[in-house]
Amino acid sequence: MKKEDQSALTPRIIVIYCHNAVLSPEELREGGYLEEGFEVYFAALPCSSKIEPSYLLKIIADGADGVVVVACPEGHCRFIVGNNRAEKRINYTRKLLDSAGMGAERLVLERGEGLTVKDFLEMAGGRLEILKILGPNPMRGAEK
Amino acid sequence: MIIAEWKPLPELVEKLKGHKRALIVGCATCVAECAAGGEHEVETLAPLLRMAMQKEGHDLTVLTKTLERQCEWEFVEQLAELAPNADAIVSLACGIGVQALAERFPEMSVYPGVNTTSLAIRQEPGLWLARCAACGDCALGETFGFCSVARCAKSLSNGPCGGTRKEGKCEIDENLDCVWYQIYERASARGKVEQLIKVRRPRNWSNSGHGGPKRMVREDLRS
Repeated sequence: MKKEDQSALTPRIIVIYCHNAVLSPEELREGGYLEEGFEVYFAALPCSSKIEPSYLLKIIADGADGVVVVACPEGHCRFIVGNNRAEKRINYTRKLLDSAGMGAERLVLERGEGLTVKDFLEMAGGRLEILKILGPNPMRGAEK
Repeated sequence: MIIAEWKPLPELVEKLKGHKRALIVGCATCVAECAAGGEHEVETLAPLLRMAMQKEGHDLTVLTKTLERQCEWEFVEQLAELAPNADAIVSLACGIGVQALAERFPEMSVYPGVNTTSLAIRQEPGLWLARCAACGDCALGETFGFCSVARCAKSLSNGPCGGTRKEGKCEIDENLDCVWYQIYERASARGKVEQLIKVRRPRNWSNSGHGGPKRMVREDLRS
């Protein structure tokens, strides 16, 4: 597959969230949101601890510029320690991203509860500056 | 179980330069238990390797497969159709599995993706501790169930040395229990400390790697 023109790429950010952290799950429509200067896609999990390093790496290897995992605040996990496990896995995956030269900052953990679409879009938008420094994901259009 | 740990990524990247399609093969037995080479790790390494290669300017297609065991020919044979689709294999099994793949597919480059380090037990989640050195002359019956070959930094048959710390830790690592301290404690609890006074003779190392590559034969099981 021919690589896309990297300079013309709009940053693509994936927000993976614990559905217990959301105020109204029905508010989040399927598909992507095209915001001013970036695209956002949402994916819900029954608990943030359902994330695995392999999933997170695959998302980035398949071309996402940034991934934001949203967990419940510390001590507020419905499954007691799920959000702590998520944090450990994210820290581990960030090290792997660094070892591959991709930059750990492509992946972050955010915490919150009673969150709305607006909150998620703000979290995603907050990544734009660092993603600009990292540059477009070199995996866009690469072989799988 | 046999335990192993990932090789540094740059080492793998260097080996795979010049290859176009790599097949990462996991093993769902020992190395899966120690989180180094099971299906999870195969599927983690695959995107990671693709990204690391891309950053170095090499497009690499990665195929994946995890076998139940890489040390059994029946399972290795499951790669017969898939392997020819790749031009290199990265095995996440222990050294036995790597060699089995290299023997089955002698025309292909087979690279180890892990360093095999020891025979160990999962003591608690995320912590593996060496328990056996495969020395070929087991003396666990004389040391109250503690292996002094694998668990003593000096592999002493007659310990402890003079380096035991006050709290029963080894002089080389404050997190490492002195196994001879543990042997003494268990012997004491069982009222059998006098058994430790007996000097244990040197081991018969000829039954391990020191006697040349091990070859075990059971004529009654051979075809």
